[in-house]
Amino acid sequence: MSTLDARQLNELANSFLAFAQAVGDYRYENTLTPAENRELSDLQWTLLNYSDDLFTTSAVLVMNDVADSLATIDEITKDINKTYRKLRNIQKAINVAGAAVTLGAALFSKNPQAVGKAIGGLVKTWKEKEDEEEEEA
Amino acid sequence: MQKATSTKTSTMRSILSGPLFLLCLCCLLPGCVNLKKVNDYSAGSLKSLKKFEEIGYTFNRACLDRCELEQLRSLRLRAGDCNCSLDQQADSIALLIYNSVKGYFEGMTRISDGKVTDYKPDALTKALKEGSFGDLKIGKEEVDSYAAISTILLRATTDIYRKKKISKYIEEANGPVQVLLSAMDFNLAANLNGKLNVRKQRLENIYVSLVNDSLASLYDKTRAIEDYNSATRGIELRQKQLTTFSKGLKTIAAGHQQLYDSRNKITVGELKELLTQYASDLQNIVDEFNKLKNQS
Repeated sequence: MSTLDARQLNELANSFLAFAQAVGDYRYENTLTPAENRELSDLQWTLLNYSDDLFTTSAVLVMNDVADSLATIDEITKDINKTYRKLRNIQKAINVAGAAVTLGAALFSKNPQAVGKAIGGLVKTWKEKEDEEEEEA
Repeated sequence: MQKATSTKTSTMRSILSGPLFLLCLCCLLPGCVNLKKVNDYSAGSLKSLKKFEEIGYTFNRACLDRCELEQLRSLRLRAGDCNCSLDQQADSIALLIYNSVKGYFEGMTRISDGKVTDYKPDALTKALKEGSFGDLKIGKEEVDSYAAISTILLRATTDIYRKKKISKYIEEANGPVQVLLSAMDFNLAANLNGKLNVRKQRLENIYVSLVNDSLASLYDKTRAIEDYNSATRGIELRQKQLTTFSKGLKTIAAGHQQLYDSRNKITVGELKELLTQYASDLQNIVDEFNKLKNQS
């Protein structure tokens, strides 16, 4: 059993299913004694149990075929999300740069009130940027 | 002198803001993917993929149904031991694959969306007011042209970056995406569907016994046939859902393969046409699935 892969187990499951169907057809199409009927019904049921279990085992064995692909795609997805965050951060950088330019203009104007307000604006924008980055991480 | 500078600025502005400039930048790319079409394809794939959550039939459900039928067949009032651990494991694997592929397409949809580089230069334009700053004099025209040019340049640069990245992701992910989509299809269309075929036969096994029972009345037999037909119709509807979902997975896989194959070869126009077809096929599959869901 250990040498069979998921696809082979699925084929085997289908073979048992076809066999069970043949038994069921025979039972349906022929006149049987109650004892014969019971015996064939039990045989069909057992074959169906085999088929059912093989379909499940095949589905579980698929993991052997996908383990590497799962790891690779998860890595790629992480990278995609990192790129996405980088692209979104550009907007935050624009906002920070805008706040810095306002501060520069305030300094040129030599207006202490405007300088204080601009520093406050820059700190606020910077904090917002950091908070958003923390949330995204 | 001032006139010459102004003419230079205006020419520069018209060159930088022209679509020709962006087109030239785009076509310098080695893998010139069309972002809008990649976005349509990824979003369509995601929509079709998410139908997995609406299938409403699992390996575990199949196991519980089997136990119920066992109980019915043996005419036991109390349910026997029903061990579904292996089926639960099969469901976990299906879910694991689904979440991985979904995560990839969600990322691709977000990164190829035009909105991601739709930057608002408001913070800078508000900050850059016209006026005198020491020796520096900034006029309204300079402020406006600075904002326009910086936005266009920023967008063009980040779009080139995005295209390069997306080409790289398509190249690296194609192998794993094909394996995962095929495994998911195999588990649902071949294994879960197989279990539904088993269930159909189990029902037949039980109902044949009922119909052939010489002690049962004609009314009982008629009711049994009606019940059997109704149960079989339910199974067939589930099977149709699985088949439709499987068609969706195959279309997603074919679309990704097409993206991979043509990432460096065909023209933007051809790729656009091909991806439009995949996006439209996926929408049809989603509609078909919804129709089946409404029947159940």
